[in-house]
Amino acid sequence: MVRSRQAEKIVPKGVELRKQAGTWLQERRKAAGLSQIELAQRLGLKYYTFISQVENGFSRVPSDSMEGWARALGIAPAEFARHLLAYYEPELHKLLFEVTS
Amino acid sequence: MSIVEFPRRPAAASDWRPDEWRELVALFHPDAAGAGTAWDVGATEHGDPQFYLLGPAPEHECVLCVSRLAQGYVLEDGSGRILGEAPSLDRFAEQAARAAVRGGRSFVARITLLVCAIRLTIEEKIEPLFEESQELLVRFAPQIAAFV
Repeated sequence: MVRSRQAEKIVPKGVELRKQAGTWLQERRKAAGLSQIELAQRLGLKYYTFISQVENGFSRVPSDSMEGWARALGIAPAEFARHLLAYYEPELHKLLFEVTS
Repeated sequence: MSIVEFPRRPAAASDWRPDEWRELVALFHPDAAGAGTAWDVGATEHGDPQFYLLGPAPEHECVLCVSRLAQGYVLEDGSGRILGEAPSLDRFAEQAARAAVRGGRSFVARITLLVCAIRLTIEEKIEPLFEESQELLVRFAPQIAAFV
């Protein structure tokens, strides 16, 4: 939940994609029937504030904890990582999964 | 002259209080944190306010995040590592600065927190000294002047 903004008015593509990733993660968490607190507990986090940070689109899911997030949300880790890569590294995702030789 | 009265938005539980707001902006003002930085605010699902110090454009990724929870304040970096926890913001800044330097955190976080710690030290310890010496000067200046 973001209510005001101080950063630049023109939202760069990377920022916009990160926001979309956050929205997708929030949808998946809700679909899994988890609150931010419950997800944080499953991930072994002391606080649930980082979940909010990611869902609000200010941070990314760290690569080393993607598997944990995926399992907590009931998604296959590879599918989860691939989906997030489309938001976090769209060019790399394109090269890996869209461009045909 | 006509005055248009705008309806005031009632302060939500998830809002930063004005005193907290002043402290946060003073601590994490872009001038202190370095050029190219910005900040933003948001809230958790439970309405706990969050203050994000963002990195340089165009990515504007979160560098530091301050959250106010029921039990106090939490400072994390952009990867979710806890850098500090404290019951109040002023104590929190100093504690977080020490933790960040000790823990070998990211360079930006360390610099930012170092600036915070220096600023806090100046405000808390050095400024009162100046005020005290100013008071002494005001008190004794007439007496000293009488000897001259």
